[in-house]
Amino acid sequence: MELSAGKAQRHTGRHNRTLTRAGKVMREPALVFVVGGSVALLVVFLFLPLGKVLAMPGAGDWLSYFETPRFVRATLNSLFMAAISTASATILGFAFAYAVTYAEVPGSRIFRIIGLLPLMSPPFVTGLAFILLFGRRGLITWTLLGLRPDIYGWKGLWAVQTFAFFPTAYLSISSVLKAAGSNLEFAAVNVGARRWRVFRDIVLPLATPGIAGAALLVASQVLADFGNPMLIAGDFTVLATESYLELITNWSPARAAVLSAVLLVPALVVFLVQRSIVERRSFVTVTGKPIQGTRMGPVPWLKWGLTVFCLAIALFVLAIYGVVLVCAFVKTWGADFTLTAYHFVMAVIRGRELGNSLMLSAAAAAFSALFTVVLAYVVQFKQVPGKAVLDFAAVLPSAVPGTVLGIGYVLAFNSGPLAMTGTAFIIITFMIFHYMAVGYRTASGMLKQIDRGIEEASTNLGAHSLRSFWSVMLPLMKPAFTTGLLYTFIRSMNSVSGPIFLISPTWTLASVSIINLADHGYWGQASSLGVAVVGSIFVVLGVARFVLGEKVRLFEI
Amino acid sequence: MRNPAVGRCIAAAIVAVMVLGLCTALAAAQGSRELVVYVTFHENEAKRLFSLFERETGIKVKYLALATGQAVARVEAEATSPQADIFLGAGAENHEAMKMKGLLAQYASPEAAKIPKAFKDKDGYWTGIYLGPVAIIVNKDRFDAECKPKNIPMPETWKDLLRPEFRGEIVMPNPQLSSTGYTFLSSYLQKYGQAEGWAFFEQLDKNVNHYTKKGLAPAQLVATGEFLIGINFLHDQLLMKKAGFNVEIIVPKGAGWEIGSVSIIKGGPNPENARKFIDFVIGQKAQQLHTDLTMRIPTRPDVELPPGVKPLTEMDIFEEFDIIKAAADKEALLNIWSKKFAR
Repeated sequence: MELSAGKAQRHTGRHNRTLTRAGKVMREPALVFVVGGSVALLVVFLFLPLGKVLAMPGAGDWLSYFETPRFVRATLNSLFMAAISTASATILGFAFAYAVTYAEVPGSRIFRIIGLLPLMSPPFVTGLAFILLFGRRGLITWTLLGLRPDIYGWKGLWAVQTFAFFPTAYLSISSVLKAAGSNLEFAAVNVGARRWRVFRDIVLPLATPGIAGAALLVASQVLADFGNPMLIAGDFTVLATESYLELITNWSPARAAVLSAVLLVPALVVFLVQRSIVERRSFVTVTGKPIQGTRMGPVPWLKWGLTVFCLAIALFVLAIYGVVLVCAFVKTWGADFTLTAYHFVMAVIRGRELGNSLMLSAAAAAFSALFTVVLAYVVQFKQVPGKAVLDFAAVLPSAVPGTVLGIGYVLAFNSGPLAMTGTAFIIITFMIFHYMAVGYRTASGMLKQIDRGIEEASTNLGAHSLRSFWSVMLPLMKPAFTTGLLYTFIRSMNSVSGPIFLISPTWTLASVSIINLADHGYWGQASSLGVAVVGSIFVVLGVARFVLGEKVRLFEI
Repeated sequence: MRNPAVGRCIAAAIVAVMVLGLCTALAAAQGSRELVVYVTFHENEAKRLFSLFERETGIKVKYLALATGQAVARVEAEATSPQADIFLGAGAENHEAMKMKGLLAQYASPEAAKIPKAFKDKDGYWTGIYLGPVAIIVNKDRFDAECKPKNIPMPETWKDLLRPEFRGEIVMPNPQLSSTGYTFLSSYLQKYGQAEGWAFFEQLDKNVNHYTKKGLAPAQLVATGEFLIGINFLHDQLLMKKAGFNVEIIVPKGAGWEIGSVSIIKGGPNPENARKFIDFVIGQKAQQLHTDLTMRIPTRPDVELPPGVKPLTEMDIFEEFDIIKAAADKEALLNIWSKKFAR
């Protein structure tokens, strides 16, 4: 990597020794425009809102944080919950990923699809179904098993968060496991290594950056989520819920900002730790060639164990979604199981929320994918000043909880020259900047594998940056573009914690509407909308696969 | 003019512009055909009211569904150039506070005469639409199976909730986070005094499984059988009964209450339409629609009540409950509450 960068510099240096780095940039107006534009966008839509969150509260507001035991307790609870949920969701995600992409247990294809389901529905819906199945009078716990577990508290929340966020871990770990070279394993086996040693010394270290990345994603999502804590945590309070209630119920933006700023600290620590781990141990064996040789699968008893494990998870997921489906199409779960299309008609057909969600998410996905690909290209391939900062800014949003960024958007864009609360634009920009990290990471990972020679050849033949980018680089980066596109789309369809602060009468979203409906007791309509969201995501994925003419590369995150 | 077709086109365009201008002028002379409402009801409920209003008057309603605190903050922030005409929903204490700050306009609606004195502002700044008493909801299936064999009677008073058999089986909203919870707390303390009142909540705390973050949650949690007994507003509980759940609902003697109200925002862009809306929303037709939809008990006596609900006059609620004092005491009471009960 370093070597090739040096080579590139020497190479271009031969063309024009006298020009400084900045001077070289100035030579290309398109590049100046792109770099300047990216910097401006990141400053306005990322750093300004975050700065507002930090700058808004006065000394008195900070004092009230430390003087309110409720807030301090919520902080400790948030940290505790994030720690245990991240650990459990990551372990579960790793085991699942190992089973379906590495050990390839029987039924892996089906397990892969089922494992994705929780990722595609707003977390709130799963929380509701969880109560109906595993509550004190749940279908499984009480009716079938006669148990009375007390789920209202940290234990119940832990279970729900583990379940809701393990797919995120599974997705990002499975992509790394897939890429990890089997040639190394093959060599290890040839020199007589046993299976356990291969796993410990080769598979696990190779997967470490992926696991760290997965843990980061899970941690920031657990920190940000307030839907499930509101529903299930009982008296156990977390920061995300508290800051939401401060803003929405008590309308005290300053205190909400304090709580958000506090929430930002653990998120950033996790982010920095993860970054240093990945940088220190980044030895993924990407050759760009298909894997050769055979993989060292686990011993048979372990393989069967993993199969049973996957089957249990799959049944659990299906049970949850079964409940949601039933809720959506019967009059009232628990009271009147007559079939009806009423909820679906009211919430989906007559409502405009699903249409809005699809439209805004699609717009955000398109812009986000394009922006991240361009940004990654500039950072990886161009000698521009401050590219380390750009790189950092592009992956930072993955660590910022949606609640924090959402409150920041309210504070930054409520009035003044940038006033745009209530518009579709503010929701779209939120989605673009909050979910850009995955697309960016994929694109820059991919660019690291592309030989600069290709672009240099094009430049040497007289093409400008823009031209080389358009006709040479862009086609090569199509897979990264697709990943960014679909990831942003799916996350935007389901995001609640940020957009809940940004919606307006004209621009309501399905994900937020689900929470409001459930809050007001319209469980059937909430479930219907949930079903519609999951269904439409699957349709879009199908269409994408058809239109983009390749395997939908969601696994390459 | 060499080409007659071009001439005709230009003439037609001029006529069209003139007609358009005339229409605009006429419309302006007639007054605006629009109304802006800040509403705290759920959209599903608000929309139905507004479309009925649009059908009856031809006035188009633009609305924003907000949480109470947010709506109040918004009206305050816009005091110098109000953007909305009507503030609909939220307890009367919020309207009273806005009246004191000079944010509301007076209006003596002819329809307000039909509403009992207790449910409207004496100066005509706000009018109550519905009354929500705090009530007890019991899951009947569970009660019959678990309590009847032990000869435990169905709770009828607040004190009945203190039975040790109900330990861990009661849910109520957190007064710090929900106006429902605070209404229960403040009305009880007003009725029975600080000493007796706090002693009651200390006893009750032992039976409470958890304090919910949303006012509606207890009714849902009891309806689905998760808990045996819940405390929240009557209409939230009636919705569960309407949905088909087997629940018993009790309005205990001396129950506290809220009055969901409506008021006109001073200096709003469409004052004439705002008055029309008040006439409409406290009128019989709108109140009937609202009651049928939300199970809330209307302030007008000439509205048909949800099945099984006693009229207000027959309910033995805490009539002297001073909601304005309750609002003034809020910070102090919640401070004590959080010291005693925050978990």
